[in-house]
Amino acid sequence: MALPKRIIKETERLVSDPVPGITAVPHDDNLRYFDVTVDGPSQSPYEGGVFKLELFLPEEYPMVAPKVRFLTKIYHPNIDKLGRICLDVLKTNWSPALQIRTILLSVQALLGAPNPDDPLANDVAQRWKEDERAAIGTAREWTKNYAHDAA
Amino acid sequence: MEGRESSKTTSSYEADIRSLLYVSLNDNLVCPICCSAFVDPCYTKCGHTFCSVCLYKALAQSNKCPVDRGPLSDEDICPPPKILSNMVNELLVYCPNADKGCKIVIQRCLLRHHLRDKCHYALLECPSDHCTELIERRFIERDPAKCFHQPMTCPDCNGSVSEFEVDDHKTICAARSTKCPDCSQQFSMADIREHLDKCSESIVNCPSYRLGCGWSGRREKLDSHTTECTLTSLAPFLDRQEERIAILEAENKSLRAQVAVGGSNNMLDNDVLHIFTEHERFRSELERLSEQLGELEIRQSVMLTNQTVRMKEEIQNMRNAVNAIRHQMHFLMMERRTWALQSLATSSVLPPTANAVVSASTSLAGHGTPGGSSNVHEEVAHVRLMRRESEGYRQDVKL
Repeated sequence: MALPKRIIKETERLVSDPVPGITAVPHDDNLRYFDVTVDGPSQSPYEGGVFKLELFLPEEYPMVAPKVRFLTKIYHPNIDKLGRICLDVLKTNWSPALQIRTILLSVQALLGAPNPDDPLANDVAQRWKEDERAAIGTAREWTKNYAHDAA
Repeated sequence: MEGRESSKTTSSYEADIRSLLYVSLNDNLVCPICCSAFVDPCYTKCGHTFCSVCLYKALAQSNKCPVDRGPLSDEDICPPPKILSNMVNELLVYCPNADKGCKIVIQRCLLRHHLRDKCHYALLECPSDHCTELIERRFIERDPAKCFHQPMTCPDCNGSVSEFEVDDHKTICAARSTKCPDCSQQFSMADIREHLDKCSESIVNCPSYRLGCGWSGRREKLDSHTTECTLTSLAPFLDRQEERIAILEAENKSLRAQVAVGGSNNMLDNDVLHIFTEHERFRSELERLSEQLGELEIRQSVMLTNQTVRMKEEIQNMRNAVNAIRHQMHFLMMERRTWALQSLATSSVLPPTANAVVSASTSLAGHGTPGGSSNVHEEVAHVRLMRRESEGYRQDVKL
């Protein structure tokens, strides 16, 4: 099926006017599949890290949300071992007026504001609630170990 | 519902209309869902505009406005102001056959008419009865009855070509011979490109033309010029400078963007809005919970007081009962003492019949017949009275 005009326009804009701290490049053989990198937000345990993600636009996009997954290991209460993300705009709060760039900004914002009360990785969330300082320490360490060679 | 009906009938046209290239397009006329200029726009009660097709597709997924997430149903949608429909219909577009050669720029609402009746490059059915292929209108205009799909042989390469392809084929046929415009020698199409890059007769510009050198002349003189040209000798240095400037500019741009993000949150508007709504939601939730908590507290305290009162009463009752028992006990002890004293007294008068007296007194109590010693009789009556009193106490306890 031909690529909808909207996806072409979004891709063009991502390349010509990229969001600071975020890159998204489509695969040559599948223009619905993007390699994404997101910089860890400053003043967060992920600062300085460059996180790799994959983003896929399903056939029904923009009527359904894109599928986004972390490829880089990350210690975060709302992101599980497989890199799946618990974020409302990717699930129930998706709106067809949102775009790839806005979704990636939301993911970046989630790194800056972890929410252990709505967890996906239960063990991480538990630790985050019981001993936040230690959890942040682990997050910082994981960022150093896994998210630094990505650049 | 009308919007849905019309979208179905024009769906083949919709597919084309979304990929049109506009001469210029105002961002305010772009549908937030398909990111193209509005097609058959509609207007919601919350004040947002979408293409009808896009909005109905979105509503089929969830009954919320795609922009503000407020509740939205079919009844909340109405046609837009006429001026908006006119503005989008009058937008100038390039003909979709521009890549084939059509140079037309036309208002969007007239495009369908242009494609159906005018465009020389629009595909129509071949006029021949035996041919099912499509052919561009310009060929039909040339000869309305001829089939241009008949195969021909190219005179140069002997390949098989359809007649309508001949013009295009002539420009690419590798076997066709052509003349060099500069040195007048004959070359095949395959070789001419290579020759044009070398032909000593052709007029060329100085390689530093872009830096401002105005020299141009035959290629054979070029070498002697470049050895003298100062701009050519400076070129590598200038190139390096340009490269560095480009890098710095890119860096400056990204830094500027970062500052913009830090300073004003324009780029994050959507997210901020989202966070705000989320915040509102949490606040209302909190209010609801604190109300519930207050209610529960009141209910709890009322229950507690009720229970305490009941327990107090019970304790009071117990205390009464204990007192009654104490009284009874006290009385019985006294009774026993008097009984012992009396029996001691009677035994001194009638020692052998003491047992008989006791049995008599019990039988008297059982039958209620008067007789025996008056002392014993009085005693029995007294005991009865006391028993009745104690029964009264027992009843109190029960209450």
